[in-house]
Amino acid sequence: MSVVAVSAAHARPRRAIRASVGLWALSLAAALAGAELVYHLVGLFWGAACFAALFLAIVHCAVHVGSRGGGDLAPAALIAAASLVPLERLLVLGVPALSFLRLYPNALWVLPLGLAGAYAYRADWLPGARPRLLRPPRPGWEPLAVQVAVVVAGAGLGVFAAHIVPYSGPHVLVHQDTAKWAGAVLFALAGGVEELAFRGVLQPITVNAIGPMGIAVSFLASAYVSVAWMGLIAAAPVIVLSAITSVVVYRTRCLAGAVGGHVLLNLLLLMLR
Amino acid sequence: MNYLLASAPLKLREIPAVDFVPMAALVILLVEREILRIRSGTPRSVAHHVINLAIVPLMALFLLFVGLRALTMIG
Repeated sequence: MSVVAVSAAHARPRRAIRASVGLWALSLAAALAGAELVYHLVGLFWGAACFAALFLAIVHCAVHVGSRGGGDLAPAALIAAASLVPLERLLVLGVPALSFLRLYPNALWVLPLGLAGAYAYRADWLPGARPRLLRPPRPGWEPLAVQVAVVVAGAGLGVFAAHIVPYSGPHVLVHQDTAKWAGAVLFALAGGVEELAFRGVLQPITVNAIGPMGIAVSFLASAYVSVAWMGLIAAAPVIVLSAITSVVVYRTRCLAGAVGGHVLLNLLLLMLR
Repeated sequence: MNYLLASAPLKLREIPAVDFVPMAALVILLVEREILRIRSGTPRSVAHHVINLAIVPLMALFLLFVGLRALTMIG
């Protein structure tokens, strides 16, 4: 009887946390939708301004919660990690566009977001164990085989995507300049950066705060930024891979396969279409 | 007129307005960080960590912007 009472007492705050995080996520989604609407209806400048305002609001919210948290870092960390979503959109819209990068002239956003992801990944003040970047957590061939399978799945999805995604322009590698390779490398790197930011940072923090539901939250966040950047059809294979990597990273606590698979998907999508 | 003359050497008027949005956010965060540092006195609070996390990508973007600008102006 006492065990039931204790578990009920533990379940209640957990449920309350889940409800408040759900409400908070819905508010964030509504704000992001509003900013997207402004971007599409009013223009690039005001869209970027809306994402900047949203990013600053979330950062200040995390600062406020962190200063009043009384030693509990989880809520402030969760809010700070959520700021990666409007930050990514702000970077995509606000980064200088370079025409020689060819397919995605604004691919330079990868560099600042990669730095932010690496910084957050290495930050020891953020709660929750981050998945390992290279070594599988357990010895033996099974964890290694899972990582290789994810890489192969990424490559397969890349080949598949190159055939199904419609593209009417000239092949990006047909140009004579060497700068085209910069665009190809940045586009491939974008996959690794997304995995590091969303599976390496956001997912463990959300899972730490709300349990396995956090996987869905971080998956939805990464799906949204992929669609917003590449468009729905080009992002479809990325979304499928993200669904696979979300589960694999959660189960194996290793990022290597996810990063490798996503980099290969982007590279093959670019080279073969 | 003065504005035009002052901005002409740096060709600031040729920069798209949207490029200034992340920079404005960076300036706000840097000011906020200084205010926090002066107010709290403790350099490693959660608030500092959160602000630092937000500053890193915007500072990287700013340096990229300045680097590209310098390259195009020199080249």
